[in-house]
Amino acid sequence: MIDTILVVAATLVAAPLLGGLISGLDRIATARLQSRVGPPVVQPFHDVIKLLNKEPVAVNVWQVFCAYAYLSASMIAVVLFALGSDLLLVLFTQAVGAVFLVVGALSSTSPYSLVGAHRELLQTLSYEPLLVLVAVGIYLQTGSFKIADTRAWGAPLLLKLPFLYAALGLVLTIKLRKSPFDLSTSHHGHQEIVKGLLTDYSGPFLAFVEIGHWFDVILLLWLCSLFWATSWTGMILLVAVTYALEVVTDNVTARMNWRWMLGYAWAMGLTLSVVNLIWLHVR
Amino acid sequence: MPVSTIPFGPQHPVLPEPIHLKLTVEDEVIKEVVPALGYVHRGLEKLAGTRDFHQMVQIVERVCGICSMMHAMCYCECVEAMMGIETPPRARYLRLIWSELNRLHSHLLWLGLFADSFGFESLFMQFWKIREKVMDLQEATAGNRVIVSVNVIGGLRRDLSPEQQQTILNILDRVEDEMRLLEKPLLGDYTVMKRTKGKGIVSAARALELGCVGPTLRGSGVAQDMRQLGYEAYGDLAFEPRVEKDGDCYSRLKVRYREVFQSIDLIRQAMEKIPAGEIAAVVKGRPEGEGLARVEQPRGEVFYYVKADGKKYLERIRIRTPTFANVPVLLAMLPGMCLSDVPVIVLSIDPCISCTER
Repeated sequence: MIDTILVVAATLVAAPLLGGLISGLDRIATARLQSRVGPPVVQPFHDVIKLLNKEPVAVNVWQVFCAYAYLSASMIAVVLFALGSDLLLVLFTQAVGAVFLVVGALSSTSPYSLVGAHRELLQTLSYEPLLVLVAVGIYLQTGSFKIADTRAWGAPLLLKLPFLYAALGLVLTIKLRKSPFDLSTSHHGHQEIVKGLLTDYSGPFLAFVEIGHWFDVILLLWLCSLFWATSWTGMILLVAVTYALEVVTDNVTARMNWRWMLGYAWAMGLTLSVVNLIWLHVR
Repeated sequence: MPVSTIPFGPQHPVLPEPIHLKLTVEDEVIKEVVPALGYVHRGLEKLAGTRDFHQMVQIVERVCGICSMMHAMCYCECVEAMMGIETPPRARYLRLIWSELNRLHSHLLWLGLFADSFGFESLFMQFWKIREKVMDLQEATAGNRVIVSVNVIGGLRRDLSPEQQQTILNILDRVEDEMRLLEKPLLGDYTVMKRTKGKGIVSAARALELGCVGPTLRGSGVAQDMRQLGYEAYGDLAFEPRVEKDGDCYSRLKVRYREVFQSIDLIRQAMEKIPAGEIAAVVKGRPEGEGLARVEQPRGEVFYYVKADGKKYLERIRIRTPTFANVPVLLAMLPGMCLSDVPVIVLSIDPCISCTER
């Protein structure tokens, strides 16, 4: 019991710290790719602390509730992952958080928020089937949906599930809000719907959403690390290379539209996933 | 999604300047566009009644920062024609060189903004990095980075030394090299083509019917460029308008990208042929009667009308700017397009609201 409490406490402290740090490194790497110096690595923390100190202003009470609900769902998903729980439960918990983000945007009357919310739903429609197929692939290989069992698996999953890992890369691009999939909202707001989904969030509630996003980033990278869970070096290297590829992709592509995203994510992602699953089955 | 109204501007992160487009949208497809202008009207034409015709050079330079050189040059040409002043040959070449530097930094600014409009931030940064070299050149030769302020009635207030000319040529070599490196990521990238090809198509006939000008018109296959009129030293140099036929955002992108190299080539030609001599003619008397002049700005033809009665102050100045001419064609491009295409199509005409509203 004490071990469980310690794991929960350590996860709740470490995940946002690590998430913010990754965000800071991301901003520096992006800046260097764009011939800029970029902000200090701790800038995301400065931003969030500044937002937390602002006067709380919300469009309506639903928006406040949804910000808390999103953050809570993201935290619970990471904690469940840390405890080695059921992978499907973790994925559906983070999906609940994503839906609350949409409900918060839909509760506003701003056309930017509404369009952003609809696009977020389409993004969810694009990546959720892929996430479930990744879980199915892991189950077919390890015989269990339990994360603890996957961690204990004797060989790197990447060697057996390479195409599913590529599909997970697509999911990561969408969830990290990177080009070409930064449609429902983007990190800078230079698009036709400004900040889309997050246009009407401000102050501490926007900070909660940002912290929730850090938890999501940690969850997805932790999921990626399962594909080389046999050694710490392998896990860190795999995650670092994957994230670096995400940053490069963000910097070498233009933003596409939701029709293209839906077609591409399903055509490419589902094909990769199904091919890998058939290969597993036939073998 | 049901039919809804989405405001695009007047304050919007994608727009460098304020213009309001009221978009009627159904399932993210544009059904109707209603524009609203007038957010930065400053009444500059009215100042003709309170500033003498020499001071008006500094006023028209401030119609637009990005193409200030060409506003001043067009106004000076108009007044010089009314007063029968012949500018020295060297001044005509110097005006051409600074004009093309203006066009260069304007097109590089636009290339960056256009990349930003479809979310290609790294490309945006690279173009603006190259643009800095041209801005530095303007500062080194004219003392100002943006509003170079070199024109006076009768010629110029500044000359270019041989060292400055060599510096310009050296830096333009580097600009050209760096621009060549960006050709593939700009024109050959799958995502860029996907976002620009087939978007905001306007045919040559429709573009002419709506009074379209500049690279927007040339992107629809019409080889119209006011520089071919031969004003200043353009008549002495060899060049052909850059034309693309498809009439979409990608064509307009290609036209402007290729015009960057054309400007570099024109500056090189001018440097080879520039004669020695005076840089300004003596100006006596005051303008009287009516005058017209037009030059090719980065965004297209700008048209100046001046009316004077021989007094210190002008009776009237009327300026028709290229964006004013291109707004009708923009409104024709948008219906039927997706909401995500709006920034790309709006930016594709390179709107200058400061010019339009004066």
